[in-house]
Amino acid sequence: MKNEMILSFRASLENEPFARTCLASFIASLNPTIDEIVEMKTIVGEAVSNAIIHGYNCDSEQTVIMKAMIHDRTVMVQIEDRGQGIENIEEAKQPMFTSKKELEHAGMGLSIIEALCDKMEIISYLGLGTQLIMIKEFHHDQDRNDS
Amino acid sequence: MENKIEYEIKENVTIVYFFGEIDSHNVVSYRNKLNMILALNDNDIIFHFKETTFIDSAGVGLVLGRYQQLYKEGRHLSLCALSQTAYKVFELSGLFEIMDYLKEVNV
Ligand SMILES: Nc1ncnc2c1ncn2[C@@H]1O[C@H](COP(=O)(O)OP(=O)(O)OP(=O)(O)O)[C@@H](O)[C@H]1O
Ligand SMILES: [Mg+2]
Repeated sequence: MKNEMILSFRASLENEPFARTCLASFIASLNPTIDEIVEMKTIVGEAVSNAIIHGYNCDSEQTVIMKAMIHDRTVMVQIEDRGQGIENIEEAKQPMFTSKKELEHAGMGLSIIEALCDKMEIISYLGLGTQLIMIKEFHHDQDRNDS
Repeated sequence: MENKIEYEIKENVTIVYFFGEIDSHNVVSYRNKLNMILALNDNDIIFHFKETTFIDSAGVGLVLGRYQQLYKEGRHLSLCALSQTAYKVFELSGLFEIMDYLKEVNV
């Protein structure tokens, strides 16, 4: 099965629950488990909040783009901002690294994404923006019954 | 489900119940509300997540921030009844190395 979607929305944190719920319904045809749905919502939420908070410094005039693709039981999600970009991607991926310590950020968002999906890739240029690509495999229904 | 916090004061422990979702959109108001609840007395605290449907890294930051505040006052913070994914997220963030985890509350 193949399917695709694109969504663009204002960079307001109010839209984060909307974006993650939207993706959860997009993947409903895969008949995911509740835990798989929550994992998917979590990685989308982390990526979208990063785009809004770090990419755009919460400037709600800006736009975040979410693209998603389903191919068989593989889901690819791409979250894109045209914001400030990441200076040092390796440093950003370190657990507990945050550039906004004063706001009680744990610096765990990217580590959580890495742990909950199968593959994460970051493309980012200073001053141009960031694309976060996440790939997650969904298990087959029959596998689930076996276990 | 509505996103909200409720609390219950037992003898020397206060249990805080989180309903619905905890994300970067609502942590700011939750932080203020929690600081108010924590200031009511010098009880130890249990954060109860049985009715929580979603927690992300903003929730981790919220819990860590309150832990550090309570720790300075010599007070204890425990976490209770996390969903499978939320447990993974908290474990990854190292929270159980500094806080106790309870499957259920029996006070
Ligand atoms: N879309 C983005 N644009 C610019 N910088 C980003 C973006 N995403 C992440 N970063 C940078 O990477 C750092 C680490 O991100 P991560 O999500 O791991 O932690 P955080 O957002 O700072 O804290 P938390 O997610 O725990 O609330 C951020 O502090 C920021 O400097
Ligand atoms: Mg983050």
